Amino acid sequence: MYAWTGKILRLNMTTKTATIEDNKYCKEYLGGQGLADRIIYDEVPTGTHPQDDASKIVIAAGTLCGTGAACSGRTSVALMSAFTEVPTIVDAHMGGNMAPQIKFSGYDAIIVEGKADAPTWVKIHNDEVSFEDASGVWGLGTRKTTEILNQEAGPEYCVCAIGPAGENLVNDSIIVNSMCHAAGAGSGAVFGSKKLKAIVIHGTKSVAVADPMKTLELQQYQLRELIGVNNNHVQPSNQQSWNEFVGATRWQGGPGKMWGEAIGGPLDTGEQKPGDINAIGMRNHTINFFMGNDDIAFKHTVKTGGCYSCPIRCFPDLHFDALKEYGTQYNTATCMTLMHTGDYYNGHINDFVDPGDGALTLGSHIQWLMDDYGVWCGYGDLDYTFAYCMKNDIFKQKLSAEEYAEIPWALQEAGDPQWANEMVSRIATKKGEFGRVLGLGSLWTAKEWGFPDSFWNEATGTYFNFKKGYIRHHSSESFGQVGGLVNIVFNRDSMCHTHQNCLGNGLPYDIVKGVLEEKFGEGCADKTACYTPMNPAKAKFAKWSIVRNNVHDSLALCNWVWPMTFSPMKERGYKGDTALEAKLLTAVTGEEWTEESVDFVGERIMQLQRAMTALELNSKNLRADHDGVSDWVFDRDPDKAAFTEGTTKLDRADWETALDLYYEEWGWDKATGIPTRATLEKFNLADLADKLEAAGLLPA
Amino acid sequence: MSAKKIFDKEVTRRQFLKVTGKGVAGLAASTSLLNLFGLTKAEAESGAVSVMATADGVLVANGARCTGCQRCEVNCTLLNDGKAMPYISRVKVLRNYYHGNDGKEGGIFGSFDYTPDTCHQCEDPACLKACPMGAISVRESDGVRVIDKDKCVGCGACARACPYGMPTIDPETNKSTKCVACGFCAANCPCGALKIVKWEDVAAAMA
Amino acid sequence: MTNEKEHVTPESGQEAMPAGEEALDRPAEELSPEEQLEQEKRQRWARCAEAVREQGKEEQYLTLSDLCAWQEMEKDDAAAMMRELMEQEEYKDICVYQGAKDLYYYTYPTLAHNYVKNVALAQEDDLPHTIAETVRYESKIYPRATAIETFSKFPYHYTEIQTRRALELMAKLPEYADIETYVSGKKKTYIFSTKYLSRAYASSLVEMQEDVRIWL
Repeated sequence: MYAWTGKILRLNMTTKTATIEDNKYCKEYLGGQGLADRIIYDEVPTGTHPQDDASKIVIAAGTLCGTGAACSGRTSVALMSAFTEVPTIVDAHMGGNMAPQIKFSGYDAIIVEGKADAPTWVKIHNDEVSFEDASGVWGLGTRKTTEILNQEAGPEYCVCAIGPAGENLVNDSIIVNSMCHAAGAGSGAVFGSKKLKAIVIHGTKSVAVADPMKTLELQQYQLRELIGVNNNHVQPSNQQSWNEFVGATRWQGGPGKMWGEAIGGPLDTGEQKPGDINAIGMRNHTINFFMGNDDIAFKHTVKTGGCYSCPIRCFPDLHFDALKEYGTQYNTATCMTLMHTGDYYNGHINDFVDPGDGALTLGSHIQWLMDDYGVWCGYGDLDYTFAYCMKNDIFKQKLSAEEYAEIPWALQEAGDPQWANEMVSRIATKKGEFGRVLGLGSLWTAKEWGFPDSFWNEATGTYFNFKKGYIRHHSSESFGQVGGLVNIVFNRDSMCHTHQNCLGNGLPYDIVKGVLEEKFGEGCADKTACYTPMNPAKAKFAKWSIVRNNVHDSLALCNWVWPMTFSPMKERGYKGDTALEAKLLTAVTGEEWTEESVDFVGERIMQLQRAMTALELNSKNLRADHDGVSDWVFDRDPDKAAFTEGTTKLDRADWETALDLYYEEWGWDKATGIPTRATLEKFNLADLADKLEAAGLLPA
Repeated sequence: MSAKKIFDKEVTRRQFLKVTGKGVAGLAASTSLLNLFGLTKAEAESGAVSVMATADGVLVANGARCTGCQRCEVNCTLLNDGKAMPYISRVKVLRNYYHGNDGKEGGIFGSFDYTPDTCHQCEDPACLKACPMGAISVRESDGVRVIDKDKCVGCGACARACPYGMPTIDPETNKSTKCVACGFCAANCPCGALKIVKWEDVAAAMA
Repeated sequence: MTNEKEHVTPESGQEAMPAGEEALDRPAEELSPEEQLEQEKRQRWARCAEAVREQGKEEQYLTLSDLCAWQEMEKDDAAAMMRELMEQEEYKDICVYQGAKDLYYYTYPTLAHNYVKNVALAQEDDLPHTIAETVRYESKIYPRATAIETFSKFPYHYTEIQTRRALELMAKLPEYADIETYVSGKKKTYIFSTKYLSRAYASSLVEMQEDVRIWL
């Protein structure tokens, strides 16, 4: 078999046995997320809490993983959630080196089940699997754990570990590999509940490729003509000799933009003409994009980094002398926590060395600690909850006087890095009510501390989904109803970038509109903050965004770069090639795949998830029980009407139309938003239809 | 015409090896070569840079630019072996990636200092001398040490003999996979950490 | 090394050859006076196109002024000659940007139209004009309001004080009546043209762009 290994490794932590099984889902689910979701459905009973004995976690590689495809290093993880009202299917993803090593060891996925009686780490080298004593590393951070386990196993092994947060069963916990590549959603606590400290893996097998020359040719075509940078921004943020357009993009490299702390002295990233493969990696600097501030992030950059096989290096490797005494001077990260310094420090940020370097330096310090302790930010959910607590004096009201007095708030007010150590370690070890409650995730924090509904409704731009415990991820601020519709179907922040990658990519609106309308029809892509009422083209665009996102998570390609909707090349009219996934899949598997046939699998995965969600919520009406949105979506900018220039607010009646059209696109019952039997059968999911029917949840 | 070209190349190659000696120390003294290789003196002296003479030119590996994507490894085997198998790649990054070339202070868990390892195409090749089958020879056209797959029995003598740990036995074919200086890794390095500088240009810089 | 030759395929070489050229491919003394003039013209085209292309390799344009000095021609004659040159199929890569003070010849797509325009604007050093041109373009095309620091970056490199002074001057001139400024929540100044953007829309675009959380 080409591309797939056709094998799955099952690790039973109770019996400390490893078994190798056939992967029967290759073609039907591709791999990655599709495969992982299907295994969870097959093997984990509905309603199982993620930390229960019956709970499992699946860590899956994609079909294109290991074949050398650009941005194919991501790992998909499927598990049940603890941060939601009831346990629901969620996916988590990490970059780094884990998935390729699973593949080169000869597996498409690893299933972890059962519970060990004592701390254990698992060493995997091809077919050799051993369960090792982890008592020596239990309690340690992910970095020290990696250092020790690499000494034991070998320097080339990928260590995927949990920190104290996972060990202590914190809802907001991660598994992390290669320093900083983390999968969230409580995956750390699932490892922790199984007493699994780390999976340590190195494979020396090959991944067979049906047509290696065609694979290489397609890659060169992509790198020469199609790829931009992170978020597939396709024009630089600076004027180079070749680019017509300049935008506020993640394409930050250019003449005079220096990696300030490069080995051997500052390194000019230079011109990065499309077609010059050897300059692609010099283009991206996500943190500089967010920080701005006179290129302060460039100044602290040693080099860049990122995932296996990805030419877009979206993780700058940073260095801060000022953090040496805390041991966090070297860090690598791409965004999120690093950008929320102000929240954790309640605005108390001071300069360290240079004017304006405070937020970056402190942010990097917090991020380092989050990854080391294994705490998940929930795409800013923790940050926002924390800031809300500060602003509304919640800690003073809810913590005991003794606990409140014991917390060194003076460190926060002083902008002292040590504050972050206090805060993160308390959450990771569930120290006091402060640590225990904050790590539950916003939904449970809100419940435990009695937040009013205004917490969700008035947090303009934060919680699109009402009272669900996960934050918006490119919702109605991205193409209006399109982003909104993308956000309602998941059980966590949407993590879908297909639509978002068409925004802010540096191209003028008319070009973006032209390319998208060719795909989805007239009126699919409104101008930013200049929205029009709902139409079928928008429903198509929203659906495709998720379908392709699922395709990417299953192949697994990075949806933060893919699809190649746009190109940096004026010669192409800036139009990309959305059939490239199918072309690559054809080249590596030797089977004929088309854009339609890969999208069909992507859609199947959503249908599966949707049906699982109905079962998990025991809901006859997902439209009412799951897809509700917060009031701010319609009530923001009170002095402006929806569909006028200058606001991203939506209209309530129009939103109902949007849901109707969207459900129709998916083949879901309009009234309930649940897939019909016909839809499920179309995707060979009759077993799901039967189960829904048996539970009395299938639409009539 | 072509004979003259090869002759020129070989002269340049020898001159170049004289300048660089066993490492890159000599390189730091030549401003014109540094410019040509896109290196600063500090980079050349930092220990993050290696240079190697190949058929097409000089292969420069600059750790300051290596960002650890490992695309060189997989590209090497897709082209040369028709499969994706980084383990047998003739350029090696992963083993230095996490904790540095020395396994201690560098790498992504340290100071971010790591460099791809490449074949040195040694003047006095230990791999060639160690091979009991005479499977490794010097290709006349360009001096590159190549492996005759028909003669190779996969005994691993070359891998053990190489002081840099570069040749790898492919467990699936039981053949050694030594670098043949095809330059494909460099041509596709997204950060220009691996670069082939043509002999014509090297000659001009040394003139 | 003759790089250009290598890039021309036999087909395209044929195609690029203008009609009648073969007839002129004879020693000058064999040509009629008309033919001699035609031959001189074509040779000049070739020289000038070559010069523009050479500049392009250095990421530069060739100004009409420099062309005149080099070819010892009057501006009007040289401009006419270049106009005719650009009509020829073989020189279709040669483009011109008409500045206020000069003409700028360049090769496309080696150099982007906007790169040439922006560098030329910087060279002409008329800051109010540069601001108006840039701001109107961005307000119309993207659309967006232009951050004031745009003019402190390549290729302009004005100080923010210079830009602010220019804006003060522009506020008094009727030809720049459409150019307005907006100060964001983060206290940064943006400039937009009311010909293409309303104040309300321009300000909302600015605030969205500055809201980091939207872009994470």
